Amino acid sequence: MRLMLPDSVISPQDIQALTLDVEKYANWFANATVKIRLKVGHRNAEQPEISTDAAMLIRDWATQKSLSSQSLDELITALKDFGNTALQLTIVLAAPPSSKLKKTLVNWFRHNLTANLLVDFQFRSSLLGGMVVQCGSHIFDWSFRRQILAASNKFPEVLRRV
Amino acid sequence: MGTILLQIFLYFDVFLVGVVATLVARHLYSHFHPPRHHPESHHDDLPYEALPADFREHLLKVTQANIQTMADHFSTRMQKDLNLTENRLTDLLARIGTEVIGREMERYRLELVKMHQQNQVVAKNEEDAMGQREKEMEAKLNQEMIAEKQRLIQQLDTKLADAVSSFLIEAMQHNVDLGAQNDYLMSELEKHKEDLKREVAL
Repeated sequence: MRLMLPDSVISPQDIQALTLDVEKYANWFANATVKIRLKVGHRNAEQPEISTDAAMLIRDWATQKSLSSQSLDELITALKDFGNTALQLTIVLAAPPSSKLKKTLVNWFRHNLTANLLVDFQFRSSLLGGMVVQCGSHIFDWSFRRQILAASNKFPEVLRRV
Repeated sequence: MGTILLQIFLYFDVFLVGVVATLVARHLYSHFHPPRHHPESHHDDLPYEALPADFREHLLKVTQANIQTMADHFSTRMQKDLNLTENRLTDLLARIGTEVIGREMERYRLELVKMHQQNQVVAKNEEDAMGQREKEMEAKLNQEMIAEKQRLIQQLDTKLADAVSSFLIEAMQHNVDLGAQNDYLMSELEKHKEDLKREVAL
């Protein structure tokens, strides 16, 4: 079965939150199934509060395989495996990124590099602009700070020209 | 006042000297030109020519001796009076001179004190005026320095701002717009796509 993560699931923390929501839903589902079989309690017991992404993921998962405790367990296992095996990148920006920017960057990485990818976003104002991408042991520094420092020897010449 | 008294005293002394000189001249004239004896006025006396020659000679000598004695005596006394007068005049002149000199010196001293005070007042006024002018010049200089400092600071700020802007434009090229970085980020990713792929493949 193929795991179709929503675009809003970006970071390892999102995967953990999604996993917790699915586990909560799986517990409720198992209890509700037992109560229905034994015909005890309220049939219409309220579902637990889960995130929209978790609900969407469960619906997508149910379209591929009938919803059962076993399939939910498989979904949880798939989520944990994804969290453990996915390529993890760290992107440092000069300011907290917006959700739109996060999605844009993650989509680019998932389409151009690999679909199994999680990105941890951080921000550091000293970068001034641009971004720093840490991929494995390699760091790509495309920040404004590095560019300004690299061109610092040109400043006296610019100052003389002004 | 003192000068007038001195003049009166000198005139009086000259008058006395004149009187004394007149008396001396009359005595000398009487001595050398004795008056003739008229026989009508001295009916009881014998005519002078009737006296013996030696007696007349004797009388003449005695008379000359008496006159000489009187003249000497009078001359001596007059000399003493003159000396005394001279001494007194000298003392008086010295005293008057001393007083005049003292008064003149006192007047001169007062004039000096007055001039000194006037000079002090003038000097103090000049000093105050100079102090005032110095303060005004200092205040004006401070204002000019502050204005010049502000002008230099403004000029430096402008120059630095231009320099920083030029430097940023030169260093960042077309990515100097810090507010819109999405295009820059995507372009950087596209530019280094192959590097990222190689890193992921590892």
